[in-house]
Amino acid sequence: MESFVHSHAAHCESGVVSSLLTHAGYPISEAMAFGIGNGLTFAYLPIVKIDGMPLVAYRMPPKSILKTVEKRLGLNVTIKKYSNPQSAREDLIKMVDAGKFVGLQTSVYWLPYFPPEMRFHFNAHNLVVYGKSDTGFLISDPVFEHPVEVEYNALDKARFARGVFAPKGACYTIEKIPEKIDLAKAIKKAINRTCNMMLYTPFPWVGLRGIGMMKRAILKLPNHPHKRYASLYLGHIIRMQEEIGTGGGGFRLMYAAFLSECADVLGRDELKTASSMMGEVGDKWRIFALSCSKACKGHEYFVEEISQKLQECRDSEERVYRFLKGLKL
Amino acid sequence: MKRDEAPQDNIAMYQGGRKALYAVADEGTFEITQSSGWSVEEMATLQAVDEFGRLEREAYRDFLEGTLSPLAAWMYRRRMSLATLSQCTGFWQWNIKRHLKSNIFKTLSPKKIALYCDVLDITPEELHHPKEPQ
Repeated sequence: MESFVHSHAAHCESGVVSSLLTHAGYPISEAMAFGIGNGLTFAYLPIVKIDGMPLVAYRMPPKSILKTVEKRLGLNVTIKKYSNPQSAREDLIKMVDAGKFVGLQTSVYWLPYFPPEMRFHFNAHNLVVYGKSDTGFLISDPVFEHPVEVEYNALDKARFARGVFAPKGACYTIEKIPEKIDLAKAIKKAINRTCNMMLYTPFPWVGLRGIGMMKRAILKLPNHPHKRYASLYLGHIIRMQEEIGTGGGGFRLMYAAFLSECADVLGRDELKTASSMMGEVGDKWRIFALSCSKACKGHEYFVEEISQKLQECRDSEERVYRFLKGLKL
Repeated sequence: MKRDEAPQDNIAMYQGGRKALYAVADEGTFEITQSSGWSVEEMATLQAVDEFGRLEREAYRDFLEGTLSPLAAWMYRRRMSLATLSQCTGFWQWNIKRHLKSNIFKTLSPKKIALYCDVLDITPEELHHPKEPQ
């Protein structure tokens, strides 16, 4: 049986895709998996509530990185779901015994190795099972520094959590990799797709338009009848941007790493420029988070200043996408 | 963000672990850097945790006074909002709101109690006697 090498990544889904592909014989970095999987986006959905707060997303919905990478590289991924924990566990044991590395979708809340403060009800976490012991499965969770072991019962609970995105024991393996992969073609397609979505989306809550929508919502915060709301709202944005494993700046820094790798693959130095521009965008988002946190603590309350910072993020992002479009990849 | 600018605030909730961030290395390329946490992120997370703690304490107080059922305290202890509990159990929100009332909770069938216990990962005994919040 091939031995498994754990690697530390910023985000769960891109980390798992990178890890599974690398072990299947096609070494690929997390940033590359994220980039060609079209992971980057921005969405602000005031109608969809998470614990009473609007949905703020800096990446595409769960499973989309896996599915897009599968399509772009022409892989063969098998995804299975189960109706009961018993058969899910037995099947997983069989796969592990056969020497397979298996990606799982689980809840965050019910994973025992997560620090208590970081457990929230999010059902689309991803991790890799690479072996088993007498009492449980050996797990490589890409957002943690080291592999862990989880008892059978605890993992069943996490795999069969209910609610939105209920995993239903979902597990996936990469079955086949084509002999020839045209990475350059996949990169070009992915970059154009992301730029088009961010710049020209018809939906007001997606892309740059979505950022504008969030800005207008922030400006209205002082009118909210509940005093605590504004503080909780800004805290919620910070968590979606920094806490939930984004690699910093709401995935923008990871995307900068992707662009820099693309420069080497395509042999286009302009992409290095785009990479450092995207790096600055990520830094601007972090400055935005910092000013949100000051307002949260209630020292001062400048919605004007916060929305100004957000506008800078939006404008500098627009410059990157226009620059990338101008390269005619 | 340069590599040496990656925050190293040693935040307690990481329990000594570190998280991967992307930062610019010496050669000008982006690489994964380990961070022991950022105080900004810590503040936002603790705020969300404290909010559930506050709601749990209020619900526990109302449970002792006899106005709310113990379900409310358990719901917040498990970091669930009404919407989350509704999605997990399949009950409508207005229905759960009724179950949160003490007098109606007492009339719930064992089947409904069992479903709540399953979702909250507790025994019926524990459901009826919530622990005092910290």
